[in-house]
Formats: sequence, structure tokens, C-alpha cells
Amino acid sequence: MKRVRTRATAVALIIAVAVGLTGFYVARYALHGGEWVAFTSNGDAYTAGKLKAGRIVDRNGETLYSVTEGRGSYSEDKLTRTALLHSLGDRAGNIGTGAIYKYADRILGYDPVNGIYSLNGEGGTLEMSLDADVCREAYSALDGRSGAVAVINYVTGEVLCAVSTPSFDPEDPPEIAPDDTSGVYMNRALSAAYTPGSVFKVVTLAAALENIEDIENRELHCDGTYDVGGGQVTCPKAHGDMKIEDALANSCNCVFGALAVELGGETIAKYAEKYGLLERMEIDGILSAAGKFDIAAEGSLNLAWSGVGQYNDLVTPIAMARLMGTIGNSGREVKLTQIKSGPELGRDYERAMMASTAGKIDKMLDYCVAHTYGDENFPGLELRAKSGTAQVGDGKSNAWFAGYLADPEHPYAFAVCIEKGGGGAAVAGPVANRVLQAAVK
Amino acid sequence: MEFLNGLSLAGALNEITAVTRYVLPALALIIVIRCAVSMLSGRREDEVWGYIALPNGGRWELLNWENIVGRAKSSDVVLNFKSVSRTHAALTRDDMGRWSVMDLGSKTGTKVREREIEGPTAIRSGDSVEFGGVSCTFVASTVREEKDMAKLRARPGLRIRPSATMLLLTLFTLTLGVQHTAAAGEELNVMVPVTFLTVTAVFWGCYLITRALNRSGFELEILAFLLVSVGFSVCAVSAPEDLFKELLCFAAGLALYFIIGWYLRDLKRAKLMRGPMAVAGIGLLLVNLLTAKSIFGAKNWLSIAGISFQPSEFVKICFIFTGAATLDRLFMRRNLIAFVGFAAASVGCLAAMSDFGTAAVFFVTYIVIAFMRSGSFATVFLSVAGTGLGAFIVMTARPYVMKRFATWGHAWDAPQAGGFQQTRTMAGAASGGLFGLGGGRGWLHRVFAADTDMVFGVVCEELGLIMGILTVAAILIIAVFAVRSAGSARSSFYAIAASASVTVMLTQMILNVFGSLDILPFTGVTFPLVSRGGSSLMATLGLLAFVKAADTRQNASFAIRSGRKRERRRGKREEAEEE
Ligand SMILES: [Zn+2]
Repeated sequence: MKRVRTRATAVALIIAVAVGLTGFYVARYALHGGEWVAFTSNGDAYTAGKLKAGRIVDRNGETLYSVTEGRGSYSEDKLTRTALLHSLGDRAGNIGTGAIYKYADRILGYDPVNGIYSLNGEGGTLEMSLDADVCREAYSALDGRSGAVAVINYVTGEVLCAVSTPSFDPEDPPEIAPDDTSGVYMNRALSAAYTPGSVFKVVTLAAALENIEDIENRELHCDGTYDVGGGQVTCPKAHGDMKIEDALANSCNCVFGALAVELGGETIAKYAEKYGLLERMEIDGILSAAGKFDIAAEGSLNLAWSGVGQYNDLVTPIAMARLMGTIGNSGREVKLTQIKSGPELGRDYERAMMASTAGKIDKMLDYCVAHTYGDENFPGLELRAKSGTAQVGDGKSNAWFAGYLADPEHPYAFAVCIEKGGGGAAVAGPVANRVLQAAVK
Repeated sequence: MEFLNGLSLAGALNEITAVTRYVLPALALIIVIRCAVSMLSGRREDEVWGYIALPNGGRWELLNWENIVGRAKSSDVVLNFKSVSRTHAALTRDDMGRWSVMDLGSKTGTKVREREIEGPTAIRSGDSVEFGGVSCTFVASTVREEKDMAKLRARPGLRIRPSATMLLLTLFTLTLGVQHTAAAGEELNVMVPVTFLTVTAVFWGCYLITRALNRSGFELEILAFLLVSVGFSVCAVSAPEDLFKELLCFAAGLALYFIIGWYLRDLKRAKLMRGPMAVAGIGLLLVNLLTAKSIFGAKNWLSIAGISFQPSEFVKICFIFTGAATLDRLFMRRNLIAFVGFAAASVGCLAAMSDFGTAAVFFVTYIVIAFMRSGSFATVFLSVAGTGLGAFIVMTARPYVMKRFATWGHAWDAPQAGGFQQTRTMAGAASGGLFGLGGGRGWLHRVFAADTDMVFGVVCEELGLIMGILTVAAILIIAVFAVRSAGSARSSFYAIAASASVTVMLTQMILNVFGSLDILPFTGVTFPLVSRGGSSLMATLGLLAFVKAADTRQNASFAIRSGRKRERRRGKREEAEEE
């Protein structure tokens, strides 16, 4: 019997397997329960692919989308519907990055403890970090032009605005041909990578501050042209003698082109990478588009142009806004979210930029606004910004304006990009002003 | 009378769910803990049934009814002499207190009262027994000694009263009934509340029968009943029209449980069933194979007079009977070979029916039995390798089986194809959270075969993950209990039968739960006692009788004779002999 007794423990092996597998499942449930619930064939959550219950509100509690008796409806206001279309998603599911699809588990009120149970089947409430007022203002300010506006809180990481145009009213969707190339379903704030132009000079500047000794005291000079690699980098006019802060304020291509050649493509690429301009940024599981920086040959014209945001450089508005936020937050890069954050402290920061570098750039951007864009154009705002007029061929330019508010009460960073809009400061600047005025109100 | 209008009635019904969804897992948790503590705590006192006095003055106590004498350290009586074989002889006691000795093919032979023995030979207390020339004296415990020992033995139900646990179970089952009644609202099928009431009455009926038999161990039944209640909850939402049929099967299953349990009381009688059971098992499978119609891919259903059932479920019981063996037979290769043949035939038939889930269950059970009988990894490994190869050939010949394996672990890549059931199981299970949406308020049961193959999902969806884990825990506790009981079982027949029974349940449970969750390949077997289906319910209750027969705690199990009458008779005989 002793032998049989010992051998009976073979069963214990199977018991151990069962215990192990149960533990494995519980862990998987804790990690992926929300994704499983959001599966569109889940009959507890969806009827014929449509969410059964729940609503979406903005950071001030304004209802953006709600499901009652199995039917989802957007805001009653057409402007709100149109401005927030790309953030929320359309009915047909063509805008896959929309909150209706990406945050289904939260709209249903899922949490791992209660599942999607709610007393009368009313579902949950997704409190987004978006500010509908800011979004409406951004949409109105874009005024029919194609482009994007991204506004974030660089302390909490909350996205306040990610408006993309062209847009449409989701309650009355237009006929859109399957071969349409306008990209109306794309959220340009996240998914479009644009030639950045001069806003990219901030990256070259940071690289120069950290790699070229005594750059701040160096005497710089611009004749209006800079000959390099058999070609020429040009400025609209000869900027003459200046220090680095004036070169930035004047947005001098010659100086920054020369700095790029001095630094080398690999160094600039390293900084673009470090500042998160090239990666596919993840916002609550939504991936942004990747940026681009091709390393041009040593001493080449392309290298000079790549240092001033031309050549093959590409950046998304959201990544540019985050980089501006990093400067405003003394070099600490925050992880972005579209969900309203609680009051808790201790954010998820990553040290992307040296604090001293951030401090120096902050001063220069302040100087830039005061000398070039004019404080009077941004009344009441502690603005730090850089414009960009990115040539995209056939004589047209993307108008960029990106920066942040050095205001602890309103720690907002932003990027505005208007496709083929013309001069950065003149075209995108006023849009930024309107949006920021709405944000600080 | 505003509160009577439809809207607030619905609200009130919703509030019933809101409260009871916390009550149910709490009750189930307490029930499971009470049963577990009662079944698994308490030291098992060694029972001394006699001893062997050695020539050097030492003695070996006989702690079981079946003892191996040999030179091997793993023997129950170790005789460390060169002339003694490693496994020399078996000393066995029957429930009348009669002992016999049998030589297990030793080189040097066994003598009783100085005469060489052939076959089982009766011995009495005080007889001299010679193992390979080593002369010993056999002494059996007297009735008085055995009675003193019985007083020391663990007795269930003193610290944790089964009656209190039964009350909790009653509350649990009735609460489930209330939840389902509330969820159905105006569409209530009257069988739903009737079923939960009837089931509760049946639970109490069984409890009273056990009390009437003066047995106090009822934890095994309570755990089983908890699972049965959850099973009826699944049936109530997925197929309320089948509740009556399911109730009948439950009653029939309980009858089977008591009959098998009673039958197992007599070891000699139980042993006699082995041959007929083997024939019946293979017969059932062959009839099935030849006549059954294929339902949903697997050809494992048989329909007689309008009642369809799965013969393979009942073959499990035949399998246990055939696989279990008393110790004296364990060491005869011929017996093991016969069992290997039977097992191979069973697995082969099931594979031919395309019922790979059940084939896997039989296969694992076969491994456990083969290991418990032979103790040899080589034997087990050889037969496993052979069967594994066979299974592989069969599988490659059947593309749909291969397809299932291809989907395994990738359910979310093909949620509308190979991962259809698994993704829905996970989605439904997650919807329920820890406490569930409430009995009768889920959706998953509408998916095909949800109440059998994906039942874990339905349980988690409606009753919550805690309840799902508790159903798994209930099976595990029964298994641990069986393993512990096997150690002190009076015959290896009971030890092997109990271990094999829980292996069947464990393997089914593992394949069912983790197959539906895409952690293992999805094979479509039932969760014992929880999945809907009469055959499975009946067969599992039958299997539980084998666990009950291994429960040697004092006055615990109806499947073990209390033996008072016999003791009295034996006591008189011993007194007469003393005079
Ligand atoms: Zn210049």
C-alpha cells in the first residue's frame, strides 16, 4: 500500500497544473479583460456591433456622445459634432482611432471588479480629457482649411484638443467615395506627419546647445545665403551679425543650416529620436504616425536643409506639441492620455531633455515671441512659441505654430499646422491665439 | 400604488440582482471553505491492523488491509535479507477480519505453518510465516484493539457541522432561483423556480438518507451539489425547457451514486465486476461507433426511444472498475496487459468517433492508473509513446482536428472563424467581472454549445469570476481529498479507483475551462456537474461514489461498512478462542 500511496501523488501533478492554469487565466483577465469586453461580437456590450450603453463627456462634463436604448447619439450641436468627429469616431467605424471604438470598455463602464454590470443597464461614463470649448474654437479658427490643432497639458499629459480638418457632421455623413484622397477619416493631429519647417530648429538648437562649446557666445553671421555641398541654403534676407537667440528669433536658415552641418546628421537624428518626434507615440493604445529624419551625407546640402526642418523631415502635430510641453516642463516628457486624470500627483515622466537646455530654450522662445511675433498678438498669455513655414513643393507652404504657456495655472503646449496655409506666424499664429484664449478661459 | 407600475417593478427586480450578485459568491466561498477545512484538515491516524514479529525480536506494524512484504524499501514490511525477493508476498485482510498471504512469484517461496504455499492461503493470528527462509510470526489485532483504534480515528462533522453547511447551500440555491426568477420578469418559465425548489429538496433528501445511515461525512456531496446548483443556473438560462429532463437525470445520477457506493462496500463483490464492466464498456463504445449518428462533428450520441445520451460518459465508470485492482493482482503483468488492451480499445473507439476531448480524458486517466499499478515510468512511457503516435496519425488524417490545434493560442486572430467560441467565452467572462451580471442576465448562453463546452464563460458572465474559480476549486478539493484518502484506503482497489475518478473529473474540467479560454486547445468536453447534459451529470455522480468509497474516516462514508455486526461476531469468536 505504501507504493500505491506514493503513486497517488501523480494526481497532485494534475492538480498543480490546474492551479497554475487558473492563476495564468486570472492574470490574463486582469490584463486584457477590458479588451475582451470591447470585442464587438460581445453580446453583453453590443447589439449588432453597436454599443449597448454608456456615454462620453468632456473634461467639463459636457455630453459628447451617449447611448440610450441601444442607439448612440452625438451632441445636439453641429459644431461640436463636427469639431470632435475625429476624437469620437463616426457611426460607420471609418475613423478607427475614435473614442467610441478605442475606449469601448470605459464607455460600457468596465472595470475588472464589476465587469460591465450597472444597475439598470445604463453603462458607464467615459470622462475624456478633451475640452469641447477648445475643440470648437480650434475647428472654427481653422475656418475650412485643412490641418490640425493639438493641445495638451504638459504636466498631466491630458490631451485637451486634437482637432482635424476636413471634417463632417457624423449625424449627417456626406457621401465619400472609396477612392477619396482628402484623408477625411484621418485624425491629422495624430496620424498625419508633416514637413515641420522652422519649428524643427528647436531640435537643432538643443543639439547645438549640448554639443557645441560656447555656442551661446559665438558670433554668428548671415549673408542671406549659405553655400554648402555644391548648393545654397537661403534666407529671405541677409540677417547680418547676431547671437544664437537672434538666429532663432529671425529663424535664420543660414545659421541653422551651418549648425546642422557642424553637428552632423547622426547627432540631430539622435535628438529628434530622444525628443519623441520619430516614434509612433502610444496614447491609451492609440498609435500616432511615426515622424521621419533621414540622415543626409556629411557636409551635404541636404544635411543643412534637414537641420531647418526641410529635406525629408516629417513630424506629427501631437509629437511637436509634446516636445514643446517637454521644454515647458523643464525637460520632463509626459505620457499622453485622452482620459481625464484624477488629482493624483506623481506623473509618468521621462527625462527627455536636460533641464539646463530646456531653461535656455525657454528664454530664447520667450525672446522670440516678444521680438518676432509680438506679445500684443497673444494678450494675457505667457507664450513661448516658434513658427514654421514649411515648403512642400509647388510654391506652397505648411503653416506651423507650436509652443507652450509658461504658466503653472495653465500648463498647455500646442501645435497648429495648416496645410498649404502660407506663412507660419501670420496664418497659424492667430489660430493658436484663439485656441489658447479658449483654453485659459 | 405607484411602485406597482412596470417601470419600478423592473427597477425592483434589478435591485434584487444588485444585492444577490454579492451574496452568491460569498455563500459559495463559505461553503467551499467549510467543506475544504472539514475534508482536508485533521491528521489521519495510522490504523494498526496487526503486526509481523521478526526473528530478531523487532516487529513491523501492518497499517493497511493490503501489505507488501519484501526487501525493497518501498514495501510495507521490509525484510532486509538476501534470500527475500524485493517484492516477495502480499498480506491481505478482508472486511471480516480474515487474513491471507500470497506469494508474488518470489524466487525463494513463502511458507505458512512450515508448508510451501500456492495461491492465497488463510492465516491466523499467531501463525508462523516464512518468507524465503526468514521465519516470522503473524499477529492480528483483536476486536478490542480495533475498537480502541476506531475511537482515535478522525471523525468528520464534529468541528464543522454539515447541517450548517447544508443550510448555506440551501440559501445559495434558493438565491439563485430568486435571481433567475427576477431576471426573467414576465417571460418567466414556471419550471425555473420549481427546479431550484426541487433541487433543494433533493439535496436535503440525500442528506437525510446519509444521516439515517448514521454517517456524518457529507462534504463531498455538498461540493457536488454546489456545482449541480451552478449547473442548473446555466440550464435555467440556456434551456429552461430542458430543466425537467435535467432534473430527472440528476435524480437518476443520485440513484447511480448510491447504488455504486453501496456496491463498493464489499471489495470481493466489487472485484467481480471488473470483467463484466470491461465487456460492457467496449460493447457500449462499439454499439456507439456502429450506430450513433454524428452530432456536431463528434459521433458520440446514441438515441434510444427518443432519449439521446452519450455512451462514452458511462464508459468512464466501466473504465474505473476495470482499471482498479487489489494489491495482490498489481504485481501480475498479465492483468496490466489486459488493462492496457482495454484502454487502447477505448481510446481508439473514441478517436474513431472523432471525440478527441473524451479520448484525451481517457488517455490521461489511463496514464494515472497505469502508473499507480506499475509504478514504473518505463511502462507508462512506452505505452504513452505508442498511444501518442497512434493519436498523431489519427489527427493528421482529420483536418478539422489539426485546424483546432492551429487556432490554439491565436483565438483573437480569427474571432469569426477558429477562435469563434473562445473569443466569445473570454468576452462574456470579462463582462461579468468578479461578481457577474446576475443569473439569467447574460448573453453568452445564446452562442451554440455555450452551456456545455463554454460553460465556464457562462458561469463567469452571470455569476462572476469568483464563482468560476470556486467551481474549479470545488473539483480541486475533491481531488486533493481523493489523493489523501488513497493513502489510507483499505485496499489499493479503492485507492486506484478514487484517484482515477478524480483524474477523469480533473482532466475534463481542465480541458473544458482552459480550452474555452484559449489556454489549451478547444476540445469540447463537459465541465463535470456544471455543463448541461444528462449523461455527463449521471456519469459524474457515479464517479463520485468511488471517491466516497475511499473515505475511511470514522463513520464518514456510506460506501464503507461500519462493520459493527461483524465485529460483534468476531469478538465472540476471539473470546471463545482465548478460553
Ligand atoms: Zn539668415
